[in-house]
Amino acid sequence: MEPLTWTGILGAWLNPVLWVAAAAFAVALVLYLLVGLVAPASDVEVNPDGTLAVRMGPRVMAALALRAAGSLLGLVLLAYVVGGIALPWGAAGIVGCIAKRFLPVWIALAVTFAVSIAYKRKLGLYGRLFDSTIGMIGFGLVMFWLFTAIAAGVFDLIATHDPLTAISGLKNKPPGVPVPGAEVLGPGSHYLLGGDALARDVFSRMVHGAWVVIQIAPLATVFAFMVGITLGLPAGYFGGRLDTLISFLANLILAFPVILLFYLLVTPEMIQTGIPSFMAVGLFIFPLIFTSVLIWSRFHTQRQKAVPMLAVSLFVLGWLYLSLISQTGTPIAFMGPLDLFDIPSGAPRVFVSVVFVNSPRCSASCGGSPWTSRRGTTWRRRRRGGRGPGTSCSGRSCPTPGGR
Amino acid sequence: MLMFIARRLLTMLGTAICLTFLVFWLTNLAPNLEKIAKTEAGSRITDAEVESWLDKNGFGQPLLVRYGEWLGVLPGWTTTDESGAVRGRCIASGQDPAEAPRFCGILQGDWGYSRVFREDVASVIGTRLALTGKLMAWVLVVMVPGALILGILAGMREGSRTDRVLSTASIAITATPEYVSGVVFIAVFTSSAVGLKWFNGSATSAMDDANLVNFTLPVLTVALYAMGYVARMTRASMTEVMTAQYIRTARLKGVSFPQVVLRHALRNALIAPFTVIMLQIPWLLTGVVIVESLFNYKGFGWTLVEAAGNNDIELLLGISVVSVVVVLLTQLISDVGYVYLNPRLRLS
Repeated sequence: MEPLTWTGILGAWLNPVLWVAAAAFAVALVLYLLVGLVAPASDVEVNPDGTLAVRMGPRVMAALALRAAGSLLGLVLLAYVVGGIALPWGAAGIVGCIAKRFLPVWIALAVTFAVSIAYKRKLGLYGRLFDSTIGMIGFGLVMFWLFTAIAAGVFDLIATHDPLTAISGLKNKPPGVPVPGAEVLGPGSHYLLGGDALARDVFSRMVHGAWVVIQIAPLATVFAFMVGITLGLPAGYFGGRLDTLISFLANLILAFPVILLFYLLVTPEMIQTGIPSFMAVGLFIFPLIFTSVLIWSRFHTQRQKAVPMLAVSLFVLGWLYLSLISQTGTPIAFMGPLDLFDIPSGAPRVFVSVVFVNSPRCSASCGGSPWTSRRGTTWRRRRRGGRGPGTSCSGRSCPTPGGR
Repeated sequence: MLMFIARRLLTMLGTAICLTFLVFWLTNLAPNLEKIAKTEAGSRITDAEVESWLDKNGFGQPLLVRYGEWLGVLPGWTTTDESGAVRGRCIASGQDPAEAPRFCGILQGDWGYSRVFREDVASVIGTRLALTGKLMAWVLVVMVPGALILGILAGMREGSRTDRVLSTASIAITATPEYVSGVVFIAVFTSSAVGLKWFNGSATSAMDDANLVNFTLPVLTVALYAMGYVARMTRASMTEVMTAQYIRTARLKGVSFPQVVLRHALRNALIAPFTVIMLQIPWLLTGVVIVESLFNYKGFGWTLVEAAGNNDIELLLGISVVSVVVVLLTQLISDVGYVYLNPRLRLS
């Protein structure tokens, strides 16, 4: 079987158009930027009768050119996707095949956007997102991977091969390489993005990787926030010794090279000793404390409401906590038949490490600082996002588990 | 001020001790030691042989005692084997045991011996740190002016089209991780796939002789990623300064816009980026692991990976000491510098 080219029969006339559109867009972007720096501040004119008029000045023209080039580029890219979906498998090359495989995601995205835009006035804050182009682009990117993860992980749709199976002879092969022995042209007859060092399909691994990230990253971030806030808020509020102690501990973990910590925590030897399990015992208790404090601080004036709520939430969360920390096959396994679930091996230790590494950053953002202003009031630098030295939760450090 | 610095240095010492003990404990857990014994004495040895190898090589003592030996507050271990020869922690091969010093820890300036590199830890760390330092210096040379110019141009007129284009660009380059941009750079600029064979895909030769051909891509990969972040911080700080009362006053007095930016806004806007840049330095030290592995540049990050992958205890401890000192020192400098730059603050 022939290896696939990148764009197949579409490429013959779409590729030159793509290059022209991309070049036009780049030129328009540079022009737009230069005009913004050099040209007079606005193209608005005041008429003698006091009304305003926008004249066809350099700014307006640059914006129009950018928009035109951008639309052309977008249309060409859309043509690749639509062509790939419409043409039979393989005719539109690798790009076309990938577009076809992603068909469930395109449909889900189209439905989401159509419904959201149609009802955006009734959707509150979420609907506001669709008033801004940048907001829509960002939302589209996130939803694309979210739908991909769900389609691949739950419904087993997009991937063409098993992400872990190796097919001999395809080690480190370029994109579009045919699978030896495949006879029918169709999904599975090619490695769309080539083979990796262990002869597995890169495309399927990419798609399944999205599901792994969706499983770990959001929850780990929430946990890191809970641990960080539960420790950092009292440190910042009470100050004194508690602040010193917690800041010291937070700095201890922050000073640790993250990669070294990951290396030390996820080795098979470390699992034998059970340290990640014990860390889980310590770290997963924080959501319980967090929820209890949250309920108590909201309802402590209404005891008859607060006590039952606390009891119910502590019971449910406590049971979840005990089932979570008790994993068969680790040193901690005591729940027996009461154990609700076991997480597949590998996930918890990565999860625990991510939470452990990221929580001090959140804690530091609520904690104290060495400065006071001349008036004598404490000026807490780390509370304000973006102005402190990078340890703030609103910076990038917190919401990206495994980032830095 | 002196009190503050003294206290911070003391904290640094405490952190370094806690952290090295943590690393010591994690690397000296029983399964890890067993792995060391098996790599050193052969992978098919029995459990009893593992036990005796560990005892002979000083791993049999309690954890705290061995940590004390590494620190240099307790005398190093010695054993006498069947032939009567005395071996010990402080006795170099071929040295007369009577002449060897009793203590040989980090306090005596002895950082230990790296099992992976078959070399003294001090010299491994020295050479590797110098290599990463070279990479870091060039990254800073590229990144700092670029980021500041980008940030100031974007922030001086908030919401203008310059701002929007530059902000988009800086978000785009920060959102691209190094392992993506590095691979893209290699594919575009070094391979025959695109045909632009401008640069070298490997920076190994840059360790001795860095030039534009072999050093551009690693520097660019790290610098671009950090540049976007610092530019965003600079932009935030610049927009805030530009809305201040004194800027409006200057404008109303008839000062031209470039003068307002250069004379009045710039100095105040550079306070926040200063701390951000200082805090990039510890990240550069260990965060360059990916770039160093990608471009095969054998610096500090690469050494860290090698040491961690092979459980090289003394090298890992040395690396932790260096990284703690760098992290806390840059924090100290940024705190002191921040107070120096911003007269509204004083140290408590």
